[in-house]
Amino acid sequence: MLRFILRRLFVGVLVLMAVAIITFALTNVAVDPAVVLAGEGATAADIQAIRERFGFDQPLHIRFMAWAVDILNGDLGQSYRQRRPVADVVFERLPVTLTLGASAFLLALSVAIPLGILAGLRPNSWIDRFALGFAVLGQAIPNLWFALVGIVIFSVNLRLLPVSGSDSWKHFILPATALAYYAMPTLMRLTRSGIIDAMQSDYIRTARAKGLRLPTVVLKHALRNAILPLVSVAAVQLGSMLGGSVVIETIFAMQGIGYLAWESIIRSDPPVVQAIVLIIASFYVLLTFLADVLNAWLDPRLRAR
Amino acid sequence: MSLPSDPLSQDAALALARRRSTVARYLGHRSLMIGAIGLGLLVLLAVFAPLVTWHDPYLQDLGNRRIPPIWHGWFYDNPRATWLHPLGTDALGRDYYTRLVYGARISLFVGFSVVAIACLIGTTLGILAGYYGGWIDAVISFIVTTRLALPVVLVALAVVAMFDASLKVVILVLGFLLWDRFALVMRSATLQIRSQEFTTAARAIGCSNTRIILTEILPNVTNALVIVASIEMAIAILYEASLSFLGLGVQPPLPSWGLMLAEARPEIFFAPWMITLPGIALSLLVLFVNLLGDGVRDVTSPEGRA
Repeated sequence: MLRFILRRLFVGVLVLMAVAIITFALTNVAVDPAVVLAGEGATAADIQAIRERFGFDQPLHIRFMAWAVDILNGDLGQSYRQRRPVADVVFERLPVTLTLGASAFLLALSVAIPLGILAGLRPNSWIDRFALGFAVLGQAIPNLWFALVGIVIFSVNLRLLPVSGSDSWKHFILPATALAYYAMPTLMRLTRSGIIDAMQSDYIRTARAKGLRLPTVVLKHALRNAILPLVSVAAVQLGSMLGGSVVIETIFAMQGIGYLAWESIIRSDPPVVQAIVLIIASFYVLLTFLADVLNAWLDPRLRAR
Repeated sequence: MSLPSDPLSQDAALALARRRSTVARYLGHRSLMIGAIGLGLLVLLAVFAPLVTWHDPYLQDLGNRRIPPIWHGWFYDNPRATWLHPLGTDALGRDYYTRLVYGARISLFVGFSVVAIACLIGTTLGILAGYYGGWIDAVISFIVTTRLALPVVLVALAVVAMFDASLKVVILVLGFLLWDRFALVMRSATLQIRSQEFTTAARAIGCSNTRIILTEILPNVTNALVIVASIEMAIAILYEASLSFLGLGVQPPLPSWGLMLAEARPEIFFAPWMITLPGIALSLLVLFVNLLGDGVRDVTSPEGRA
């Protein structure tokens, strides 16, 4: 088990290094950072001055090493536009995104798992058809449109919920629903097929034969096995929710890192964008690592791989 | 059908009957047919856009701004809602129906081109990893993991912003970001086929690796390829709409559905139908693509439903 954990950890660190190299290459090789910083209408002399002031005239590998060492020391650099450390700018926005992601995730799971169990217990029943239809619609409706229609109904017409901002729990209801709605179908389908497979297996027949009640069998035996594939997919979903919250946060003008990323891209502030990409990638790596470990703990057969 | 007595043509007739039953299975599958017919209709609308519309999608008519759709005439007796503009006009007086039809061109073009690029990259990587295994597999799996760690929307937004937003840049960026599922599925499909007897036989009679991949592996992964392509096409269409909505995708005055949503946003208090219509168009297109993919999966591998 320890070897398994160490190997996964090693791969995770390698992946983060690769992501760091890619983000650095995109902002320093694909485009000239001095030109980006100078903005439109800058003269060649302006660009040259910026190049010298920010050290863009040094060789690429030296700049990358300096940048990487700074990151390892917890220094994410300076924001070009806000004239503050990137770490301050990003971390004051992080709580909103984490709250949004976590509440959307819990919402999605709390609908997907019960619905998936009910649908999986009675395949082809009316509740199964309802659940599958719901999933097909959920995957087709774009969450940005879901959010806009939510604003039209609940904020403009019924005046129940605020249109934008992130000041109170009421501000989180529509955005979290819009994010959860999109992640739910996959989770529901996985629970459903897991339960269908589990209910046909021998150990469930044994458990039923020795007289255990159906709820006990489903929750203690079937769900435990059905949940295995769900764990890794759920981790990926939570990771992509943090990355995908860019659209939702921008629609609702929520002060999270997604909205910050969009603002920084529009105002061309690469250090902030780089930091956010790295942070989201770290979350993704951490979550998939935890899911791998959890799966290996739940199912010892996986440790051998 | 009575089978002919000649054994050779008997085989041929059996093969024909088998092929007919496959076709019948496709035709009998309800969601597959809904998806195929719906998508087919949208493709026809997009291709023959100038024939089915009677306005210029870019022509502004400031005297006829924000005309409501035809049903406002039926239900609210709004005299401005006529068949001249069946789905109304936008804030610049452009005919909404015409723009929606021309918008289908953009979404479909994005969907097909992104899938073409992603399929090429992902399938190549996946088949190489699955066929050769060893360190090649390790390196390609690492590339896939790294790609998965990158947040797609964020990276796409940043890259599009660096290279001046346009349809071409959006397609290239999404194509280079959305190949991961192709690689994963193709890798496991190839692994499975590689261990089967006909592949071993091909190797035993001395076929080269390239030939085995092209003639033994590739024809057998086509079903999986079609399913993944439908999933990725739906995702690509939704991402293009998101990018255009955020101002870093297709640029005005092109009638991208995502862009139309962004343009309709300031009208949210006055003309909510301007938001409703492009969203319905987008949902329908994605729904048809998904139904088609689900149907192909059901018909080709009934046991692999997830």
